[in-house]
Order: sequence, then C-alpha cells, then structure tokens
Amino acid sequence: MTRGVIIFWTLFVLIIGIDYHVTDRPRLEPKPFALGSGEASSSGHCSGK
Amino acid sequence: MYRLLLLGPACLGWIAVTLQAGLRAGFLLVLGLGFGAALSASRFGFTTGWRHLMIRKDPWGMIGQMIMMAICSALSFPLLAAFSHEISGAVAPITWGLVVGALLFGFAMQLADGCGSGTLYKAGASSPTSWVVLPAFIVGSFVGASHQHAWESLGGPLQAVGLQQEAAPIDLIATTGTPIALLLTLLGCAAVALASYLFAKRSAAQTGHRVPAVPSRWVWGAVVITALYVVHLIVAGQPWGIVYGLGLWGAKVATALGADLSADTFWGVAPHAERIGEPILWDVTSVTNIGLLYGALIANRWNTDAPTRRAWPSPTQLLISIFAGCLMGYSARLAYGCNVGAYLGGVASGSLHGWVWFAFAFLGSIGGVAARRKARIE
Repeated sequence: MTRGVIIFWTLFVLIIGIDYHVTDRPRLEPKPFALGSGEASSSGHCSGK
Repeated sequence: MYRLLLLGPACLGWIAVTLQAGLRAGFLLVLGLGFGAALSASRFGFTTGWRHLMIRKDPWGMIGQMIMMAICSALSFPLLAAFSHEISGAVAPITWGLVVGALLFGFAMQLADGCGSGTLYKAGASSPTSWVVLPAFIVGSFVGASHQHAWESLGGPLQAVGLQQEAAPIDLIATTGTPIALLLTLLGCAAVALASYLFAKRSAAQTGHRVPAVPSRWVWGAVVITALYVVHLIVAGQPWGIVYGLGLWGAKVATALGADLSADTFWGVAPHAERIGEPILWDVTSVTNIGLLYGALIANRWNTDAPTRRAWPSPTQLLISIFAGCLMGYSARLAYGCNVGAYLGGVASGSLHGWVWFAFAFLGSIGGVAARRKARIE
C-alpha cells in the first residue's frame, strides 16, 4: 500500500505544480485575516458564491 | 522516525504555499492540516454517526455533531452579525434542488461510506475506496455546478405553497436578530440530540441492552473541529467548505482537456470563470482540502490503531463507489454543499437551508443504509 500512497501523492503534487506553472499571474495578495481587513470575502463557497 | 518525517512535507508545503499564494493561503493550509488530522484521529464522521444511530442505536455520533453545531453557532453568530462586511455566512435558498440534492447526497454518502470531508480524509489516510470515490466526486461536482442554475429555475417548496414569492434564503440572524437566532439554533440542536438519545434508550430497553458509553473521541473531535471552524471563519471570511473546491478541480481538468466552458451557466460566468484561470492555491476551499488530505495521512500514520481499510474493494464495490461518488458530487452542488458547507456551515450561519439539508439528507441516509445492506457492503 505504501507504493499506492507514493503514487497518489506524487500525482497530486505534480498536478498542483502543473496548475501553478500554467496559471501563474500577478495577484493582489489579500490580508492575512479576513476579520479586520475591511474587505468582503470574495472566495468561492459551496453555498453559491 | 518515519512518522516524524511526514511532518517535513507539511512544513515545506506550508512554506511553498505561503511564498506562492500569501500568508492567508498558508494559514488556510495549516487549518486544513488540522481539520484532516482531527477528523482522522477522532474518526469524526457524519456518515458513520448517522449510520450508528440507525443500526447500532448508538446516539453519540449524532450528539457529537449537535455539540459541534451548537458551539460553532454560539461563536459564529456574533461574528457574522458584527462583521458582516468582512465575514459572510453560508446562506442559501430553500429550492427543490436543495431538497432533491440533500436526499440523494444522504443516500450516496452511505454507499460511499463517507461524505465530502469523510471522502477527503479517508483518501488522505490511504483508503483505496476513497481514492476511487474522490475523482468520481470531482466529476459529479463539476457537472452538478453546471446544472445548478437549471435546478434553481424550478423554484422551491416554500414558493410552491405560497410562503415565498421566489425561492430566497432565510437568514435567521438577519430576520430575528442574533439572540433569537442563536436561541432557535441551540434549541434545534438540543432537540435533535435529545431525540437521538431517547431513541437509543428506547431501543436499548426493548433489547435488554444499555445505551453505549460515550466515546471520548467524539467529544474532543467535536471541540477541536469547532475551534478550527471558527478560526477558518476569521481567516477566510467565510465558513469552511469542501465541494466548491472539488468542482473547481473538475472544471480545471475539463478546461485542460480542451472543454470550452465559456457558455456554461456556472463555470462560464464571473467569478467562477476567473477562478478556473487562477492557480488552485488561490482558492480557499482548494487549499484547505489539500491540507485536509495530508493532515489525515499524518494522523493516520501516527495512530497505528486507525482502522482504515487498506485493501482494494471488489469490482462490484468499486462500481458502486464510483456511482456513489458521482452522485454525491452532483447532488452536493444542487444542495449548496455537503455535510460541511451546507449542514455545518448552513446551521452555524443561521441559514434555514442547513436544517432542511439535514432533514432530507437523513431521510436519504435511511435509504442508503438499506442499500448498503442489500449490496452487502460491510
């Protein structure tokens, strides 16, 4: 099963790496905490945002 | 030594995510690690909690969930009311899609032996069944989001009986004020917990047994997850969610394979269309999901008594798992989330849709438990 774990995580990290490489672009970094930031949350959520 | 080495990739991952996506994303990854470790170590499961109540007449899983809901609500409601310009709750309308979606989700999660969080933490803890369910969940969630608009156009049950002009959210905090909203929510949690205990007690009396003792893991699991939930709300500005991220992963894969989603009623419009083009590490639910997966692996390897199934399922069970995973992903999008985004997030945001989700998902679970028996899934 260790082989399965290694394959799973290698694939997973590879996909994240490819995604980052393909989509990288300048970003206005949000403040560390939403509370106190003065900005409305703009992230996606299952509830429909 | 081997187990200590597992902490290395977690630290490296945190540094990489912080450098590439910022401090907030780094914090969220750590919170995800905490969610995964807490879920895996305490084996805190929505699915098993409900199933144990139905089959073993063991109420503690359900009571643990209600304790979690109650504390989350008590801590979240004041934050949501006082900082509504920075923190938003999981508030969604009561639509036919919610009713059908929750019913199907409850059914499918029993077949798959894990809800949204359960599938993720079991996949992280190296359960082959969940490795199969997870990709199917992603596909279902991607397609379900595409169909969400069509389901919403059907309206909702309150609209059908004339109680609403259109299917709109019912936000208890905005409607009744924080104290009454909290009182109603705490009463709801207490009523469900009491009903579960009385049901177990009556069943035990009929069979001459005693109600099972309280497993401490349910209590500390509930408390730790509650603490992480509230910190997540403060850091992200929104409740903990899972399904949106999984659907986004599906949309990214579909785009990479050449699909044109520009005409899609969900993935083709802002802000979802922009998110497909952004790095996955910028998405709140994706980052916590990634952390959750790895946190579950660490906790599973640390706890040598963890009962994770390490054998590959039979071909029949494999097919059932793929079907259940697709159905869970699809239905979770109709129902505005899974146990985390809709049930926990909805109730702890004072949104009535959370309670409606719970009622119909529980009904669906009764059918799912019967289907498990028929399919001879242990």
